[in-house]
This record gives sequence, structure tokens and C-alpha cells, in this order.
Amino acid sequence: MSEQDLTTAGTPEWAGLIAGFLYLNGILTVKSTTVDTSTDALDVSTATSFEIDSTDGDVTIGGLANGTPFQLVLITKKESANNVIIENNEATGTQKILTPDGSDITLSLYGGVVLWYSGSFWFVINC
Amino acid sequence: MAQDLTTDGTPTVAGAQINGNAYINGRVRGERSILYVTTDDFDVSNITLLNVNSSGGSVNINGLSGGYSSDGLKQILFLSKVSGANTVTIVHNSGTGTQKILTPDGLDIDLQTYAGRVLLYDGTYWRVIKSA
Repeated sequence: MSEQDLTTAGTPEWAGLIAGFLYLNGILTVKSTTVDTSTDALDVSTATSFEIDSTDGDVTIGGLANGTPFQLVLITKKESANNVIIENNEATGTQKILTPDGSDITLSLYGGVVLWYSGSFWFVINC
Repeated sequence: MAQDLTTDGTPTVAGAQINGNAYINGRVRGERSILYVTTDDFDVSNITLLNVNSSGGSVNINGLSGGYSSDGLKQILFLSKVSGANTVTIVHNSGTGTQKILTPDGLDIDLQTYAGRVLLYDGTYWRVIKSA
């Protein structure tokens, strides 16, 4: 395979991209989805950011689903009302979450967590 | 028309919209700006990494500007304090901020030493992502 450079002023769209290096001379944006119900299997196969709408009550995240190793996910509490709970090592979680201190994380106002998947567990990066 | 492009080179594009998954077998590096002074509207329209250098005095971040949110795509900003001196304060819902910032507990965040935060722009507010 010959070495090729592609330079364009346009915006190519790809179904996927495999790159050795990715240099962003601009901003980084990610797909974001809103979730408003508790789940032990939050499907993370189609987005990177998940905004939790707790307007109607507490929302508990007991696990994720369909993550791939080394995937990064952001979970953000979108509304001030009620709580968003990130459960530590929840028994019924599909892909379980391990929090920094082994305790459930309660987001009571705003805020969120960054998680990465080891292939076995989702680990919370406590920024 | 679907096309596959495979190259060992380094494509340079003005923008890339990836409608599926991106697998990066190496580093991800974003454009960076450095903030030295208190701001209500520091422009982040072309950056991913915001370094705050407080060596000359404490810095308050009351708000940002130029944040991007459209069609479910939302800008992520990595904020890092790069001087051990003084304090960088992320001000919660400042009255003077252009794109205001909401912190997890509704209180201002004081960053000491070399702390940092990840922020997400939802189209109205910058949200500080932090678990506790």
C-alpha cells in the first residue's frame, strides 16, 4: 500500500475511522444521548456522552452494556432535580461499574463522571 | 457512494464527521489555548485543551464562548491548571459569563496545584463533569 495524503477543505464523512494518530486542529465533539430511566445495561454502543434527565425522579445507573475495551464514556446529570446514582459493582449490572472508593456515587445537583472500560469493568475517572 | 480510504499517510481535513465508531490506535491530540487572566468569555471555538496558567495571579473563569453543540454533537473541553501557583476558580453560573458554567454542587470550584476538569457544552451551559 502506498503512502497517501488526503488534504481537503471539505468535511468527509466515514462510517468509521482507524488512525494511528488523530490530530485535531479544532474541537472534539461526541455523540450525546439523553436517558431518563434507571438501567443496569445502559447501551453505550452508539454514543459517547449520556445526559441523564432526572426531572421525574432518581435515575440509577447500575451498569452499562455493549462497551468495548478502552472505550470512554461521559455521564452527566442534566437536570438539578432528584439524584443520579452511579452504582458500584451492582450485582445486576451487565457491565459493572467500579467507583474510586467502592461506594455508590450520588450526583445531587449537576456534575458527572468519566468512565473507561477495561473489558471487564467500567472504571470511574474521578476528575 | 460508499468509499473506503486506507492510507499510511496523514490526511489533513478541515473537519471530519464520523457517523460510526472511531478507533484510534495511537494518541489523540487536540488544539490548545492558554488562559492567563480572569475571563467571562474565553474563546474555545477551536480548541480541545485549555491550559490555565495562574503564575501571574489567581484566575477566575466566569464563562467561555464559542462552545459548540449541534445535532447531538457536543464539545468536550479538557481544562488543566498548568501552574502550581495561585488558584484557578471555575465560577458556578456567573452573572457575567457568556457561556456560563454549572458545577456539580452549585459552588465555585477552586483548583489548586495542577488539578483539572472535563467540561461538556450542552448548547446552553458548560457542565463540569466530576463525580463528587
